[in-house]
Amino acid sequence: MKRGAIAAAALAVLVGLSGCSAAGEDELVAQAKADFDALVESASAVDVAVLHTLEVEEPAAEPCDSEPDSEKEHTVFVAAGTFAIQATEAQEDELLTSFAPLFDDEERWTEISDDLPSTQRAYVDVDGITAAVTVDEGLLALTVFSPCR
Amino acid sequence: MDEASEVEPIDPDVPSAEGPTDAVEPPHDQAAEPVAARRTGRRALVIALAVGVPLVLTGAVFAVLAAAGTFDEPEPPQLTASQAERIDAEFAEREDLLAELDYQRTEYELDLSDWTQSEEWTEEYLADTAQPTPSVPNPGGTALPGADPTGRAFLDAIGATDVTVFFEAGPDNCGYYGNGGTELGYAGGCFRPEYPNSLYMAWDPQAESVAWSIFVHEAMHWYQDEHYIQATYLADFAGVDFESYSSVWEADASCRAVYSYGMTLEDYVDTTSPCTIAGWYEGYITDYLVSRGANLTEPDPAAYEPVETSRP
Repeated sequence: MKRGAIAAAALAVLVGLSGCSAAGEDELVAQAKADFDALVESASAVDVAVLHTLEVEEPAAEPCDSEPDSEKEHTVFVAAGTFAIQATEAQEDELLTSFAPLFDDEERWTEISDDLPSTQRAYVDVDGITAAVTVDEGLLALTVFSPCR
Repeated sequence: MDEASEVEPIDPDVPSAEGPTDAVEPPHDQAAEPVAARRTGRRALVIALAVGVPLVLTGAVFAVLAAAGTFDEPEPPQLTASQAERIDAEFAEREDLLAELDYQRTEYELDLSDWTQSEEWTEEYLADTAQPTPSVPNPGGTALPGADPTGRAFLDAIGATDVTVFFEAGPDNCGYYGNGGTELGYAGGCFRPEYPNSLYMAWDPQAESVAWSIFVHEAMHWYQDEHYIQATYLADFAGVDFESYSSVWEADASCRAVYSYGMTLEDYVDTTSPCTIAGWYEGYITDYLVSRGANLTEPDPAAYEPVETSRP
């Protein structure tokens, strides 16, 4: 009887702990938006002589699974801007890497390095939030995806 | 019923009524050993099951997990296909804008390159201090008519402090051809860009009266180069070559002499460079070159932007 009680208590603790560590979907979307806002704030501060425009799109819930009948979705946050006519390649490269400090929490973020072109930096967090910064063809694209659920 | 079934069971703990005998082994010893052995066997089985079953089950679970790749080195994170496609879509959506931006950037870079080149050439030109070598003396002598025989006062007044008059009747004086042995008198001058600090002057004695107006005209060519040489480079980049407007350039020099430095239209009427520009004004020559298609201003990148600046 005593052993059973201990086992039940241990199970309850485990369940409780796992319940605490898994953020709800709304929380993950809110976190993704916060991460996106940080990216946009950083990009907005760039000199217009380097980044000429920056526009934020409405976030949208979109299918995220290639399975035909899948109902899985993620919320996508996108901002895009064109580089100034006189911006140099060095300035574009510098901007691409300038967002790295936003992802320097190693306990939360992992940089994605496999199969990425040199024009892109991407990071995924412990909950599956993915952020990507892409600079190519004179365009900066900031993209944050909430986890696919 | 057979005989074996009629044998009473012997309890080893109950003494026999007949008492102990030496001839027969006590029945309880024979029965106790198998019982003890059975008990030991049962205990071993229980222990074996208690330890073995969990071990086997654990092993099976590990095997399944291992087969599922649980213990493999985790795959490095990657963008999913749908994420990559979504990002690509942002670029595809702006394909036209990016193409226009690319075109405009190229235009800007070409124009900026022209501008930078023209600036460098102008700097080099204005820094040139080469001096010509005398060959044929001026038949009119080594002094201009009037109160300013070297033109020093006039040249200083227009900012040509490093410029001197080069009295020279040789072939490098592109404005003087001599009188061909006739009684006529000619006066001619020349401003050669390769010697930007020298004004060639020559005249026959009988043409001395027009020497000053020709000197002023040549000084105006120095002025043109000093202030508008970059415009000529930029015009050339735009396909407006100097030969196509040399007569305008000549007229501009005479008109500046007339409208800015006190000469008269008549002073140049009978020369190869009459002032023919009605309503001449400072800056006329640049407006003329612009009207021919030259871009004479430093490229402003904002003018090449296909869209307005924006921020969220």
